[in-house]
Amino acid sequence: MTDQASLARTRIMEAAIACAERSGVRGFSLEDVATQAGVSRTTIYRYFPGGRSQLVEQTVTREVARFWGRLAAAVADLPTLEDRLVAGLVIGRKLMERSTILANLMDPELLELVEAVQPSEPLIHGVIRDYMREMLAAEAVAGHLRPGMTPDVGAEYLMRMTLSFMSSPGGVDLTDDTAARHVIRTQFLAGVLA
Amino acid sequence: MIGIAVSDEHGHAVPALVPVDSILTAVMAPAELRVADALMRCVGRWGLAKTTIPDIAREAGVSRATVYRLFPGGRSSVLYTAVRVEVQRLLALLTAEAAEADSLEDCLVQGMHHAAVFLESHAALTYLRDHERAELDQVLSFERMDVLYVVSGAVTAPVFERFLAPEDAMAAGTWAARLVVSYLAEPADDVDLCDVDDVRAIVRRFMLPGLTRAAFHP
Repeated sequence: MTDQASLARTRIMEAAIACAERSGVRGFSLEDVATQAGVSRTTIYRYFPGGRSQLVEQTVTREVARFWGRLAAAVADLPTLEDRLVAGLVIGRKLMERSTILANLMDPELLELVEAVQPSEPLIHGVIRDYMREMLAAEAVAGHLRPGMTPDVGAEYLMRMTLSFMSSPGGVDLTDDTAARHVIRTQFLAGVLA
Repeated sequence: MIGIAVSDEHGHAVPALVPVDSILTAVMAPAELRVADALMRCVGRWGLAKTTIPDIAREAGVSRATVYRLFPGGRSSVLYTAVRVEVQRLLALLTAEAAEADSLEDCLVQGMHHAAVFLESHAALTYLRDHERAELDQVLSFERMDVLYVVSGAVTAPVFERFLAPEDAMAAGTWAARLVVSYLAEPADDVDLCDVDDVRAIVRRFMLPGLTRAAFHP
């Protein structure tokens, strides 16, 4: 894809996000996006021949990926694995609550969105698993892993727990740092770190 | 019914249910229960998309008018009731069984194993997972899973209170439910919760250290 093409696609997707943030995912039309992006509908169809549903799918996928990327960046400078996981959960919940798109993703009525995000899920899960594995490999080198624990096994587990908690905190108040830290220490890390 | 976080006397967040449904399905009107079970049977046979109110009514042996009267919200409200009923049934089963277990480890292992086997052999759930994945994800949306986790924790808490302090007991049940759902939704190559040895490995490796280390009590 040429630079110009990818710039145009990005502009259209960002316009779609702005419209979705304003009117919700169900509430916006291709006309709205065209106006917002300053392009014609024809142009949109050129980059998204599948029309609105393709635009929604790719935009949502992109937003989900950006969410995780933003999280990783936000916690990168924290000193310990525990700190990063705690901050990740707390910040993650805040980001989810502030984003109309991500909130819409949690809305059970929007089958369209659920379907849109499905194809990219294994990819996202792989990225999170790799992220965890890298952190655990560093802990292994420092001799911090429990006997018998490996970065692979630990990463799989932490990935599952992270995804699960991020979407369904299950009664834990993730705006409460103390509560979040208790969960990370007991449910995430007690079996992983020595 | 929702799960919320409230502060205990030390200012720590603890989960609470407001209010809690009874675990006894017997308190439902018999006709409601019949309709809910009928939906599950239909979904197990031909999936959710093709299951209509007339199908459900026929299967339940009631009139369509009755179904609409009992469930003014239509098919989706039948569905959510049916899910709740199944979860309550499963939890009642697990709780009764766990009374026999001698140790915290056995409680967790038997409970999670039985839950996994129950869910893997559940016709409606399996149909949705294999053929109507998006619909399943929609039914088990994040918020609903949240409620299910809190309910699981609350209902199984008495079982774990034999071994743990009350707030840890509730956390144990929620945690176990979370892992069962995770492995059901996204199967792993090397872990099968229908294999009791695999469950024991998970419990020993990840759960017991977090439940029994006194250092973690704030």
